[in-house]
Amino acid sequence: MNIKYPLLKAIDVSGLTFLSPVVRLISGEEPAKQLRDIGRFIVVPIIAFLVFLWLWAVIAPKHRTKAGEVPTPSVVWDASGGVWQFHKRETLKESGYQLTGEARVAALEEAKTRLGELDALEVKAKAQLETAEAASKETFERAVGPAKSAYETANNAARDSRRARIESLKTMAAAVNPQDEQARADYLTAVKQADQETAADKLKVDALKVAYTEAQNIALPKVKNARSALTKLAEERQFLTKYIDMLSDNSREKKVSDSKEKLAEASAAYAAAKPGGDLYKLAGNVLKRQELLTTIENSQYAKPWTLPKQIVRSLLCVFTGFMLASLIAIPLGILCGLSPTFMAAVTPFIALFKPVSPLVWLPIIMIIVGGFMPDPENHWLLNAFEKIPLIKNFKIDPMFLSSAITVALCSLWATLVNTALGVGSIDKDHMNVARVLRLNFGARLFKIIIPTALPLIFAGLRISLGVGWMVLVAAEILSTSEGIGKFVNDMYTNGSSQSFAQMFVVVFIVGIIGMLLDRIMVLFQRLVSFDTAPAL
Amino acid sequence: MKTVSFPKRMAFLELDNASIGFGPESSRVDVLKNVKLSVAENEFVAIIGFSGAGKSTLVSLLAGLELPTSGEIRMAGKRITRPDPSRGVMFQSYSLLPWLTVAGNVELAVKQVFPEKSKAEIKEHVDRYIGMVHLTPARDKRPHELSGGMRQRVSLARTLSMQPEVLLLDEPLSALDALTRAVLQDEILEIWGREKKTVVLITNDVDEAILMADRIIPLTMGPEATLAEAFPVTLARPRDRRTLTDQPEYQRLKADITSYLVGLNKDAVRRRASNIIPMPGVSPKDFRPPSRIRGLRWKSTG
Repeated sequence: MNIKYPLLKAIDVSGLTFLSPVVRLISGEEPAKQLRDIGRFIVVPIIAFLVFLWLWAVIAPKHRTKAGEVPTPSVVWDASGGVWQFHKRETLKESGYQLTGEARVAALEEAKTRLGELDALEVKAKAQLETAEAASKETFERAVGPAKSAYETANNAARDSRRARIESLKTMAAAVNPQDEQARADYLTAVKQADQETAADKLKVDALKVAYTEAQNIALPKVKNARSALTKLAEERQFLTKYIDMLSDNSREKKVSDSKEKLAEASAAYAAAKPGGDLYKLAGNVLKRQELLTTIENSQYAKPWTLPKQIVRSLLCVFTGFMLASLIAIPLGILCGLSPTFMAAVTPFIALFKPVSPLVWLPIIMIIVGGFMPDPENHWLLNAFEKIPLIKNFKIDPMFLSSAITVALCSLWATLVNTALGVGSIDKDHMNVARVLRLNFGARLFKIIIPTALPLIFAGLRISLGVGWMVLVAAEILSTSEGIGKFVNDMYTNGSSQSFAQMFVVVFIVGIIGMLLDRIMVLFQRLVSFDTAPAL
Repeated sequence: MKTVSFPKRMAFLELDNASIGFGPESSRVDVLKNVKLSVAENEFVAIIGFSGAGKSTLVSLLAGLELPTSGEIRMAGKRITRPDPSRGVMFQSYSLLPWLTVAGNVELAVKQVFPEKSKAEIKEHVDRYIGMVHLTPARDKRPHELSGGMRQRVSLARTLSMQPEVLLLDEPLSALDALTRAVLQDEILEIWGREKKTVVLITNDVDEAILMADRIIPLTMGPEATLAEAFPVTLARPRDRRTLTDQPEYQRLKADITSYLVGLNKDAVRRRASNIIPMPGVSPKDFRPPSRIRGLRWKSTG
């Protein structure tokens, strides 16, 4: 019972109000009312979502595209598993490459054992596929057979009648007198008519061919499942082979020891060299070997970008842009709110630049940023990012900065306008208090004006973050800066079997992250609003 | 027992023919015109008037929040040109900062007025004034968690904590219910008796004025309002609200003031009526909608 009210308060502040009937029901408060509320705020949304999934599952397969069928919910779910598995395997390779000594041997043994198990599994999967194919052969025949025979019959008939028409036209030609104008015209008409008949036949045959191809696409779930199981095993085998290679012949440990051996040979040769022309060449050899060893010792597995890492980079980018926007918009907004003259000066810029699409800003900013960084590898700002522990893995490049600046440019307006509004709408009585107390400008600003404006500032920040997150994905697609947008772009351009479904996965990931960011901002907004005490 | 010392004391707070108007120069309307007021030190003056008469403008002038367009305002002989913590104002709307606790609101004032105080001294000072208005248990609450009466107490504590020489109370109790108002009236009187301050109370409640003030000055109806002849209150202090109404002096004062105020109102209505200019031969146009629309029970036809 004691925990009930703090819990309700926390729910209220975090904006998860749909949970409060559950808490109230557990504490036994008006069960009938709580059940009604649970029905309305929890069950109804769940049902609505299930209806959405059902409609999706029914409608999606009806539309065929170049990239295959529009994926159903279950295909998208599978694809999300695939995305995650790719990430896990790449992470495993990355860490496997670094392993040394017994840990490496142990990992190698484990991988080899699993590879051994795969043989039996593959045999079984193949057998299953065959059984499934045999079992559904009849179904397949029944579905495809009539269409096939109809097509073949029509095709043969069309071919025969075309030949017959040509033959009869040739026979006719023997009887035509080329000098007779009327006969020439009649013959021309006959040829034209025959051509038209042939074309009509072809149209019919084509329609039957499409029907036949359609029939071949008949859904045979068992065969499909068995085939995808087999594909998964093949993928695992491919991974394991690569992984074992990285743990044994291509492991860093092996490479380092090889390199050391070579260095020792070179050093020995250098030591044993006779004075003379050879010495120069051998000394160079030793130095080259030394350098190579250092490179190998510091080498990493060239891990491709996986979606989880791209998500983190996108978050980093939107956060950078958001911070930039806040740093510009809040002080400007305060100035606007304080001075109607300044507001009048800024208003046209807000009106002019607010509607500009990120897709216009981005190329301009990329060129401008590029101008500042003619040599990105050695630019001080990027080098500074390289030194920050968690951020250095995310390859901060000019594209990243351009995307972040675009996010800032598109999202700062909401914060600017709201801050100006918050500062401008300050209570006259509060200002009178400040005047009676003779607060100086700084004290007025920090003790009266900013606290009054904070709820509206945070309302603006919330809108800005939402806009920024939307803009970012577009900016990443256009700038091919690593991130969620780049992932979508890659999926769009490479067109592998799963890529269409993986784009759908991205829709949900972007949606969920956007929702979480919004929730966090709501929480902050509630914490700075003084009509609710902070939940503790 | 405090005896009334009106009127032979030196003027402490003075309004000298002060006028204030709003609007552009060409069509300025004087809200207050040629106001003369002289308040002695430690005197409790009540200014009574109808709403809209310009009472709050009068407080703003006394506080220095607004400057007169002509005439001048002096405190202890010195001209008032801007607000100052030595004239504490208690606003009708509490004007507490909602993001600060009770203690925080008082502390803001104390820190500003006594910058030389140490942290411990400030805390002691704040707690003393919170205790004075009986709010110690609500010390760490925020204004939205308090009732109207408690909020006005916080405002009182904040104003008193600045240790002003003059207290300007701008209808501080008019938003409160009768019971809370009575309690707060007693508290203000008690604190006034102890702390010895010059008080100007703005009110629209005759009973409140008689209970609290040494002198009651009606404000005539605006625009161009001015202060009328004062009614001295010679009732002995402390005044007990339970027996006060039985005293003939109280009844006489209340009757006099009430009839004076009613007279002011009638006068104002007459003045307003005289603004209507007769326009012979001009009949107002019929702006009613045509009958077909009138059939829809148009509101203006009713």
